[in-house]
Amino acid sequence: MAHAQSGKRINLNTFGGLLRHYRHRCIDWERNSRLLSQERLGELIGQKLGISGYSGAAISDWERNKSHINKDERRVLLSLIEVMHTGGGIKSLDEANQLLLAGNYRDLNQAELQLIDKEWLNQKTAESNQYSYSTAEEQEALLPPATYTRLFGIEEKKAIICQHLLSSNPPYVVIITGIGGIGKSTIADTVARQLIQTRHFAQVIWLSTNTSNDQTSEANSSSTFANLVTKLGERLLPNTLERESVERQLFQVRRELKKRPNLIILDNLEGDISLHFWENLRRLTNPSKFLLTSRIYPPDTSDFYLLNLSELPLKSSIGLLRHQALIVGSTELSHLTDQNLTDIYNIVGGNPFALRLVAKLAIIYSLPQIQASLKRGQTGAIAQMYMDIYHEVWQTLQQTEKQLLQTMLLVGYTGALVEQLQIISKLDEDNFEQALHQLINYSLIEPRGNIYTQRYGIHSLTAQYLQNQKETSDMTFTESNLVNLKYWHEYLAIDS
Amino acid sequence: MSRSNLDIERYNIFRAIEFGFMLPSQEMQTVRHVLIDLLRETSHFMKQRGYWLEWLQTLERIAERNKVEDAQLQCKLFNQLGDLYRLTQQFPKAIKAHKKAETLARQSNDEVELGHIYFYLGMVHLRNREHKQAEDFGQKSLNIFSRHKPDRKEMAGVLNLLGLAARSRNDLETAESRLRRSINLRLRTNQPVDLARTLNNLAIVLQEQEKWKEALHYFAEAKQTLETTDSELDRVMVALSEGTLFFRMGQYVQARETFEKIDMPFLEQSGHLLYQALATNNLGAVFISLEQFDEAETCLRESIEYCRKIGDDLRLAKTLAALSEALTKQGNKQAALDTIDEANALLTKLPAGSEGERLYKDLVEQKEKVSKN
Repeated sequence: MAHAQSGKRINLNTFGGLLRHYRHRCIDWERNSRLLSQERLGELIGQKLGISGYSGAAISDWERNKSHINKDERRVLLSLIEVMHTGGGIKSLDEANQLLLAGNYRDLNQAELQLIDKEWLNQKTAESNQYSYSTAEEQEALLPPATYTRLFGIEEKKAIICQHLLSSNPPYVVIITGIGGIGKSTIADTVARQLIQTRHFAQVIWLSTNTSNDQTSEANSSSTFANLVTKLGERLLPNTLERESVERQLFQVRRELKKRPNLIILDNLEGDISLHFWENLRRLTNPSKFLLTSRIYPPDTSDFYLLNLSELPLKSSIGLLRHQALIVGSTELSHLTDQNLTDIYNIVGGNPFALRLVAKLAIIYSLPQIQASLKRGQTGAIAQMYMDIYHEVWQTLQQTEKQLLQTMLLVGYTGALVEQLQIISKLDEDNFEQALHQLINYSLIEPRGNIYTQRYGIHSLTAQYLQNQKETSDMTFTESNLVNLKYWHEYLAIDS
Repeated sequence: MSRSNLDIERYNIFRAIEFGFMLPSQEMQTVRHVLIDLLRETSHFMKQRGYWLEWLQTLERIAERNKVEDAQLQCKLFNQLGDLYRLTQQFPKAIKAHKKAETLARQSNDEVELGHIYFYLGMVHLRNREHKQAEDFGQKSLNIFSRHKPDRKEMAGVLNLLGLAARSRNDLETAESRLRRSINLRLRTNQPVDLARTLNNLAIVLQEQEKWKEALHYFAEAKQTLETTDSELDRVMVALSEGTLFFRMGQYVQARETFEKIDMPFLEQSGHLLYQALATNNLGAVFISLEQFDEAETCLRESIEYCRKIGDDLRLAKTLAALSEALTKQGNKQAALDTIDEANALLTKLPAGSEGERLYKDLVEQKEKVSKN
């Protein structure tokens, strides 16, 4: 948001920009002047405070955001607002709070309102009476229907997320990443339901996002953020923002989110989200928090908490398979031995979406048929599952990325070191790093090491998909296979 | 490059070998020696570190899918598979795998490979208490290796097998002589793990001859030799043997301390049921001698579970006998009698003249005593 004024552009998103904007609207009522100079503003603030006042240079520094008023100097802020309100620069309570918000100061409280303008106090009281929070039941009713009846193997992760969201400290944004079907939305849903009951947040709001890839990154991000603001406005301030500009909506939504802690869940954030989106999102946080789910790793988000979802372990997968089999009426599957169910796990891994599908298919097909179909991945519901999870992203991969991903078939479940991957992928350093980075972004390769030694691996289902994609005569893969054997021969320092 | 990370890298090596066996024949030819080396070295490492089950499953998958026409490669695969079946007490499967390897070795007239196969078969029979077959296969293997430019390592391995075969028929002098010859050869090879195993075997034979001091000396040498290796299973093996020696010498506290040092979580991960059964059984026996009967019962019951999984009736009966003793001492007469009955039911199935027959007689006497009290 920017205003042209005296040939200069003022950024109204900053404290300094807004201060200058409001001062330009002020008159000097004592001297009947149509302009309130920086010098005079400093003097009037001084009068209010009973001190000698601030210099014009000090005001100039505030307006250029070169220095700022300390949060502890609340009286200075109040005097500033009072002077500008008396001079007609700050016309309403909203504008006063907008200025405070831009400087990351809290809203005016009742005592302060009483001091500055009693009318504002009345206005605020009327607003508060009008506002009422949704009950827990009402909030839960607005969540999408749960797609699960029992949860397996996610308790620990759920606890971590809840702990971060309930803390009044950073991180203010928690992002769950992982490939399709891995259970991101399920965790988000169960977290939402639990936190609604705690009443810690004024509201827990679930928003499903859908972004399309046919726009440029910047435009896409802008529209994603604008959509987010509009949707948030509809939920936080129903019927009040319909005809407002996006800037105005943003201000109101931000104000609402700053006023009291809300939890916003953005499910399925896809597409090419640029830095711009994350910067804007960051401005809506504290005390409100955001929980996001996405297949893609966000870019530079050092102050966000990232939780990459891995496959369910064997025990939980077997539990889920048995439970799901009972739910859909596939009793034979539910009575299979652990070993039989382990055979299924060895093919699909711990992907909940795939496990649920197997349980459903077991009503119609025999286990060997399902296993064969999972391995071939060519027909029916299983082909559709692979399509849903992988097809779109596979189409967008560069040749070097596909080459590296195919190489991952040669890697065991504990993952491989970068050194091994680069050698066996036969990619040069630049291409390798770029491809690895991109595949991690798409959650197709996941980091599996620790802080000292980073390792990289893929999910079993991804391996199955790659196995289906791979041509048996694929020369590139054969070469990687040969290089891999020699790599381990050398590693073991075998003297033939 | 270092082998220090092999524990975590093992899955990548499994994958490498698995995919290596899937290579088209032309490419396979260029790396067959690499694959053979990898199979051998990986097996060696996995056995030392106790990753038998994982490695066995991998080799089973490879064998099931294997369309390789290379007889030598297949032969190596089946031998490794057979050896893992032996280690996991699956003796019929082990023999079957080695027989497949034998057929392949005969087809390609590879006599040295036959020497290896006979050695493996001798080991399977030895572990299955088929002493005569163990001796026969050991001798066949020795003949082949003697004819074909004897390799110290292979000869030492066969002499160790023959020493154990002699011990199992209670010919302790022959056993001692063969094991000492094996050690002499092993001392000239850089194979500390194999050397430690034979030192341990010699110490057991000396112990059975009641040469306690000498036995302790060789256990100490075995432990020292293992210090430079990462073979945890062999450390367990020596601890089991040394603890047994302390027990036989009446030094129960030292015996208990030795057995308690065994890394049970490691054994569980390795899937080595026999060592788990032995460790818990031995500790149970020590607790009986220390008159800590509750602890004894706990250990022995655990051991019984392992014995059941192994399917070794004689070992199970022995442990049940020990449990009945602990129960008797606790005053749990009926439970003790039931336990003796269970043991005797197992022993009646064993062939006449065997160790089982002697134990049966002992238990009948024990039952009478318990009934009278």
